[in-house]
Parts: sequence; C-alpha cells; structure tokens
Amino acid sequence: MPLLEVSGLTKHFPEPRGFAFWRTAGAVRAVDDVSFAIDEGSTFGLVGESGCGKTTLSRLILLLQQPTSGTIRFAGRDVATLRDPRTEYRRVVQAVFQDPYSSLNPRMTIGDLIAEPLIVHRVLAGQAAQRRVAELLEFVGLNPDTRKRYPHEFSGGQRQRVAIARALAVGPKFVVFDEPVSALDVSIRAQILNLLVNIQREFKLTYLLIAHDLAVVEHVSEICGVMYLGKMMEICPSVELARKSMHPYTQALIASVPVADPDVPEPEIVTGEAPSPLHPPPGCRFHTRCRFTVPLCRTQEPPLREVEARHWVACHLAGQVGTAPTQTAPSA
Amino acid sequence: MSANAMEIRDPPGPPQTAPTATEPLLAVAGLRTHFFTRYGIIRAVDGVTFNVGEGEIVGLVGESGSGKTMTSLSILRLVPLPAGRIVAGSIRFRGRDLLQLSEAEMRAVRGKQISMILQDPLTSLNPVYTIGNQVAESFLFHRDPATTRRDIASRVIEVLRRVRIPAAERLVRAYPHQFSGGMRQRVCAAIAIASRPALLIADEPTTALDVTIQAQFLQLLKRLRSEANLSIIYITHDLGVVARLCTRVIVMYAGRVIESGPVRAIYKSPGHPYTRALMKSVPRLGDRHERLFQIDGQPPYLMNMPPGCAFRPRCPNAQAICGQELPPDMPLGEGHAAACWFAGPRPAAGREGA
Repeated sequence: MPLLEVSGLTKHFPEPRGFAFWRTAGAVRAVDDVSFAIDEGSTFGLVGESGCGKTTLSRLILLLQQPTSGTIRFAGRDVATLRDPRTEYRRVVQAVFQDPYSSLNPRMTIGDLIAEPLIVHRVLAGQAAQRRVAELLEFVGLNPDTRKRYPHEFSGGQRQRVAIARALAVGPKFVVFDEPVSALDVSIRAQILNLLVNIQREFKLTYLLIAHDLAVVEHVSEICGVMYLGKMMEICPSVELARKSMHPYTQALIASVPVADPDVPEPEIVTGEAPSPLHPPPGCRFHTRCRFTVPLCRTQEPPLREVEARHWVACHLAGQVGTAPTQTAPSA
Repeated sequence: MSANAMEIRDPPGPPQTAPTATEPLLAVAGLRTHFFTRYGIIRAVDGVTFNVGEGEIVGLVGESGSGKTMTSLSILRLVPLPAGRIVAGSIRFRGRDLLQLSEAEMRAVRGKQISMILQDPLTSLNPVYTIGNQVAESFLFHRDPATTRRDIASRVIEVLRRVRIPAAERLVRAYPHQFSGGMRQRVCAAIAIASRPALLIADEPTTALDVTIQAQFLQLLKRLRSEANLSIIYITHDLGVVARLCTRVIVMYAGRVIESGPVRAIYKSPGHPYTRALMKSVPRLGDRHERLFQIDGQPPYLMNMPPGCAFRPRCPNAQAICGQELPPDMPLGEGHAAACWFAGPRPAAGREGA
C-alpha cells in the first residue's frame, strides 16, 4: 500500500504583467498534472534538470505551498482535509535540504538544534531530550560530546549528518531529501548515501530523494521519476533506468552524464536548451529537442501510460523508438 | 624585451627565444603557496610539480581544500593578499619563470597568454555592461595600437561565433541576465579565448550547469582545443568529466600531487590508494550496488598536517614509514607516478558499506 499518493498535482505561479502585479500575464507551470505513489518503506528518486519543478513538487508535499489543483494522500488521507495547524503531519513528514551551511542556525549548538524539534512537537523534554540527542548523534556517526559545539566547527559532511539527526529526532515516517549530497565532496558523498540507507532500514522510513545526479538516484532508490518542464516524463524501477529507459529525454539525460571511464566513446548529446516554463511548447514539452519528433508530438501532449509492468512513459513513440541509450556504463 | 631578460637570467643552456621542443608549455616545479594567518601557517599548496604540454588538456582533480584552485591562482599570480604568499618553486611558461616577472610584465601574460574561466558565470560577468562590451574589454586591454573600433566590433562577433553563440550580431547588445547559464558560460569562454591565449585554466566551469548543458560545453572546449591548439588545465572533482575530456590527470590531496599520469593509466591502473578509493566510491550509472564503497574519515586539516603521507590516517595499507617520511614519486609507467611508498595495484582504501 502506498504511504504517499500524489494525483494530478499542479502548481502554477502567476507571472505579473509589468508593474501592475495584480494583473497576470500568464503562469509558470512549475508542476503540471503530476501523479505517482511511494510504497511504504521504499525510496522514490526524482531526477530532472534545474527548473523542472522537482523542488516545487517537494514543497507541495511538505505543505509549504498550496497546490493549484490535485491531491496529496498520506497514509490514505487527503492532506487538504487535515485540520490546521497540521502538527501531526509536520512531525511524521520531515525534510533534509541541500545546503547544510544555511539549513542550520549558526547561533545554536548542535545539541540545541537536534533538541529543538523534540521540544516544538512536545515529544521529549529536559534530560530525556538530552539522552535522545546523544543517541541520535551516535547513530549518525558523530561523537555525542560534540553537542556543545556550533555548526561552523563542522565540515559539510558532518553538518549534513546533524541535519539528518534533526530530521530523525521526532520519529518521522516519511523524509524528503532535496539534493542531500550535491554540496558535499566526492569522498564524503558515499558515506552520507550509505548512512541514508542504514537509517531507512533501522527506522523503516519512506523516502523521497530529489537529485540531479542520476547515478545517486539509481543507487539509493527503488523507483525513479524523471521530470522535465513541470511534467513527469517517465517512472520506472531504478534498475531499469540505465539500460531500459524509454523516454528520449531520459536517454538524453543518461547520455549526457560523463562516464568515469576514458574508453567509453563520446555519445551523441542533446542539442539546445530547455524552453522557458512560462511558455512551454505545445504538444510534448520535449519535442523541440527530441531526435525522434513526429508531427503528432507538436500538437498532442502524450499522457503518462504504463508501457510495461511498473514502467510509465509519457511519449507517443514509447516502445517504438530505440529503447537502449547510446551509452551504457560498463559493468565492473 | 623579455626574451633578452630571460637569457640574462638563464645563461647556461642552449640559446633560446622560443620554448624548445623538449620544454613543455608550462612547467610548475616545487610550488609552495602558504597562507600566514593569526593561528598558524596553512600550506594550501605544498610542493606541487607538473607539466602541461602544448595542446594538452590536463585534469586537476581533488576535493575542496586539496589546493587545486590555489595552484591555478598561483600560476596567474593571483594568490589572495596579504595572507597568501608563494614561498617556493618556479612556474616556467614559454621559457620564462612567471614568478620572476615584474607586475607589469605579468599583466601582459594574464588574460593574454594565460586566461581563466571560473565556476559561476553569473558572478564573473558584470551585470551592467553588455556582452559585447565585456568581450571587447579583452581586445581593448591587450590592444596593439593599429586596431580600430570597427576591427574590435567585428572581432567580438567572430569570437562569440567561435563559442557557438547563435545570432551573435544581435546578442552583443544583450546583458548577462538575458542569457541562460550555459550561454553565460559560453560568453566567459569567449572572453577567455578572445586574446588567443596559449593556456586556458578552467576552474570547475560546468559545476553550476545542468548535465545536458555540461555535455555541450565540454564538446565546445574540445573543439576550441583542436581549432586553436589551446592547452587547458581543467579543475574539477568530477571523474566522469575528466575521463571524457582530458588527456592527462593530476590528482591532488591536501596540497600535494599524489598521482599523475595519462588518463587511461590513472583510470585503468591507479597507483595511489586514494585514487583507487576515489574511483571506487563514485556511483556509476548502470552498475547498481546494494552499498556504495566509502572512504572513511575526512581530509586532514591543513593547519595540522600529519607527518609523512597526508592520506595515512585514512589509508588501510599504511605502514610505520608512512607516518614518518613523505613518500617520493614512485614511477609506475610512461609518465605515470604516484606518491606512495607502496604504489602499485593493491586493494583500495575504504570499505564496502558501513
């Protein structure tokens, strides 16, 4: 049973016309009719380039923004019907953000930072809270004695561990990770990704992992979704991402990722840039850069349909055009 | 003339006006750039030696704080003052030691013969000047007196075309905010190559770009290199980019070069335990594992460097000697060397999972 179910989720940001900000010229369709579900205990990886709407989607799920339309169901309940102030939802749904330099208050000690959600949500207080902080620090791989120190005394990787401990403090069921490792050094990334997997097993958590790095998403998630200009283009099991992706955009994205092997020949790369989300092209949003465009793509928007079992693709030609990307990483 | 000055400084050796066939375009030797702070000396670059040949793309790889950016700023003599100082070493470029030049002579090198592209194209462009204006600046600064305004205008358009900016005639009047990230980085590349430099230093130029745009930019760099016989020092931490672009690789760790060699040798038979661990810890598409290979610990704090090898605290093969003496460069093959007492094929440092 899915823990989180998103259907037809849409968020439009009105674009003001000139100085008269109450008159709108159009709307940035940041998230446009997106549907997917995340099973309990699994990880859904969301990939896409900047401006594709992946962060807006996460903000909608975190109830930091009101959707224009569509529903979010969490544990079977529509979150729009939750009674304000929605404290319970905000306890069980936690988030870890990209930049651990700006997500931790520099004037609070590590211990206070981790204890803060415990106190806000009235989970624990006093000595019990302090014991919990020590446990959490130990669990994320930091010395409990560091609780009296301040964020600036820690490296990026250690700060991200603090941010993770803070998210875990109140016993969440669902955690949104928005680019959790992209600000970290290469040798630290693997440490944090392994920690995320350990935590998931230990606490039986469900994850939404947002990343632009396809390899990261492939490694950590079971199912992944690819977004482009506010639309979900493909959803497939992560093991199929590299070799069996069907959407030309996913394939272009994979071909663009440089492989750490000098013997892999340079693949054909996608030309042009993503159009403005203010004026997305009619029909399929990727048709302006797609190698396989046919007249139908210019006029009719392809729906996201299940082409194979557990593999959804929003492309008129799915299953017909070359399913194998031009470049596949050699297996070690 | 500078050629005469050089001969006075280097009386022995063959008389030379241009670099000889044996001398590389750039030869950095024993470079040390230190920062003198209230709390102690930070050895950001500590004895770095490497060469860049003509038409080569050399990848300078390392994590943050490994000294790769400070090495490149030292080459341009742009080390932040007053704390930073180049305390030892030589940087020979086209037969002259850049560290011996006067500031005026250096200004003729900087931006003219050696130029640079930085990571963030938005902050490296001036928002209040047009693109054309900013590209023209390079021509105006290094101008020979015969050039006219019209010459410069046509050269600006020509150089924008070389970096594949569409409708260059029209876009010279545009401002940076009207460009996308990828296009802005192309403008930065245009400024860098405008004066037809021999060496281009690119410091993480694609880190801020999307992957599809990054792929396009890497293709552009490769084309510029073959069109203009440009040598490039490409600074990055992305091993995929290096494999796709570079001919040679220099791996830095804690201010020192720990391994260098041809790109194939580094990827196929890395000699230093750090290089091996780095190669293994990068998740690769299409090669899904339950756990990622991880390197434990963290890079050392440059103020309190451990004696001996800087990687010793994280290295699984460390022996007593590693903590006592700095390892020498062990030759491993044609132009391939690693600074490790036990360089050679051994298990990588780190472990499977946690």
